[in-house]
Amino acid sequence: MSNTSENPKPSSSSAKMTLKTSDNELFEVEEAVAMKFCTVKQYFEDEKDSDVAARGSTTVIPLPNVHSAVLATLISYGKKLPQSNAVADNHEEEETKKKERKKYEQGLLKNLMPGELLDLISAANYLDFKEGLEFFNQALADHIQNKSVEYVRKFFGIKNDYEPHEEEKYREEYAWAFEGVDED
Amino acid sequence: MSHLPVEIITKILFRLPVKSLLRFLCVSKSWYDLTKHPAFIKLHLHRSIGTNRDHTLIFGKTYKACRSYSAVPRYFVSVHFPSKNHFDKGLKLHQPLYCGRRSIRILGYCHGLVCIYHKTQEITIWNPLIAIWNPLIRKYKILLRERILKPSDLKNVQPLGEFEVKVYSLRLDSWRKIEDQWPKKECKISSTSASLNGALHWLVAEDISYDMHRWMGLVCLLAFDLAIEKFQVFKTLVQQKIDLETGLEVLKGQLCFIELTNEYNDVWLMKESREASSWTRIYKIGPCLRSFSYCKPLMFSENEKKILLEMCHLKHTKLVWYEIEKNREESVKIQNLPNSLWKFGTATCVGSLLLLDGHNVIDPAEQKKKKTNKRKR
Repeated sequence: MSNTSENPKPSSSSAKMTLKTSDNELFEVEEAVAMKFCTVKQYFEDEKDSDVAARGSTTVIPLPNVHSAVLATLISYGKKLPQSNAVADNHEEEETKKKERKKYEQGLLKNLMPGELLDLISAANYLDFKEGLEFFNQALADHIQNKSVEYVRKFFGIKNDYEPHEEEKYREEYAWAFEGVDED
Repeated sequence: MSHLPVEIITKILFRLPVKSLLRFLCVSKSWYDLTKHPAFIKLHLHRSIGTNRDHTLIFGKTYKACRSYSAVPRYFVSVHFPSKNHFDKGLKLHQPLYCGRRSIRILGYCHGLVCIYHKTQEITIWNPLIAIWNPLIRKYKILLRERILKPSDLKNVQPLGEFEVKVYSLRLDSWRKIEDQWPKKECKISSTSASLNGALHWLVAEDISYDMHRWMGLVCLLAFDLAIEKFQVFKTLVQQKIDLETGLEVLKGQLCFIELTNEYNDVWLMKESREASSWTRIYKIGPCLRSFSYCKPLMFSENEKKILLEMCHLKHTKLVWYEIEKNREESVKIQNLPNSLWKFGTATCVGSLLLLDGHNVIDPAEQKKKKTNKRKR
C-alpha cells in the first residue's frame, strides 16, 4: 500500500519522510513506519493530492504537539512492529520476531519514568498511532493497577472534589478494595 | 501535567481489573461518573471476556449436605486464575443469601454475575429466594421472593407443575411476563441453564416414560433468545429415548452437551448453529475414572489438550485436569479449597461492573469486627 505503482522502488527499501517536532528537530523516518501515525498518513495523502511533485523526502511534516524525545520513542516502537509491506515470514521467523519485540517492550518500559508514559500516550493520541496507544495505555494501566487513590490523583493531576466525610464513608464501605495496595 | 482527555482516561481505565476500578471510584466525581456509566461497564465487560483478566472460579456447596460436615459453610470460595495454567489460592467469599443451615445452589452464571437460589420447603409450597450476585465486586440483588407451586426438573420424580415464564430486567428492576410462553406440551426441563450469545439454553425432554426405574425421554435443546424473547426447540444428536441424566454447559464460547450413562460421559461441542448436524464429539470419559458420575467441563487448558473437570460423585466433588488423548486425569490442588470433603458447584466469572448499584454483601464476621473496633475507640 505504501509502495504504489508511482514508486518504482522494491518493497524492502525505504522511502523516507521528514517529521519536524515542537522543538524544531527533524526526524527522517521510513514511510512504512510513518504511515502507522494516521495523522501523518492523512497529512501525507492530503499533500499528495495537492502537489505530486512535492512528495516524499522533500516534504517536511510539522508535529507541533510532539516533543523530540517522545517522537524518538514512538518511532523506535513503530519500527519494531510488523510492517504492513514486509514479505510474509514463515512461522519460525514470526516467533523469533515476536520474542524480540517482547524483549524490546520490556526493556523500553523498564527505562521509562511513569510520567513519560503520559507524554507518550498524549503524543500517540495526537498522532493517532493505534498500536502505540494500545501498548502504552496497557503499560500505564498495569502501572496504576495496584496504586493508591492519592497516587492516582497526583499522577493524573486530578483534584479531589469529594467532601472528607463522603470519601471516608466510601472507604469504609469498600474497605476490601483498598487492601493490598502498593505503598506510595 | 495537563489533564488527559476523557477518551484517553477511558481507554486506560477499561483495562483495569474490577478491584482497582472500585477503589478509583473515589478518585474524583468525574471518574465515578465515568466508571458507572453503562457504556463504560459494557466496554469493560467485553474486554474482560476477551482477555484473561479477572477470570475466577466460584465454588459453592451444593444442596446435598455431606454427612460428616454438618455445618453448612456461610461462604463460597473464589479462585482467581490469571492464566489457565495457574490458580491463585482460594479466598473465602461471603454470599448474600445465607439463611440458617440451608445451602445455596448456583442456578447459572453469565457476564460475571451468578444466580443463586435458596429455598425453604413445605409439602407442596416452595419459598424460593433467588438473587443475582456479582462476587467480584461483592454486590447483589434479590430477584424473587415468592411462594410458588413446585415445578419439576429432570431429576425430580414429581408431576408436572405450572410454568410461567418471566423476564427480569436489571435496568428497570422489574419482572415482566413475556408473550411467547412455553412449554406447549408436557415435558421435563433441566433446572440449570447455559447462557451464550444473548440466549439461554435448557435441556428438555419430551415423550417421557418411566422405564426400569429410570426416567427416559427424547432430549431436545430449548433456546430462549433474550433480544427477541422467543423460544425455539432444537433436536439433539440423541435419537432415541435416553436416561435423562444429561448436562448442558458453555465451553470455549460454544454449547457443550454431556450425555451421561451409567458408565460414560459422552461430550459434544456445538460448533456453529444449534442444529444437531454441527455437533462434534470432543471426548468420552469411560469407567476408568472410578465411578464418578457427572463430570462438568469447566474450561480447556491453554493448548486445548486438557479439560478442567468438576467431577461429581455421591459424597464429594473434585477438580481434575483431564488429558483428552491420553485419557488421563490429574488432580488439581488449590490452596484453601477443601479437598474432596464436600460437594460443590462451580460458576465461572469474568470481571464485570454489573450490579454496581446493588446491595453490598455483608460478611457477618467483618461486621462484628468493625463494631468491636468502633466500641474500642
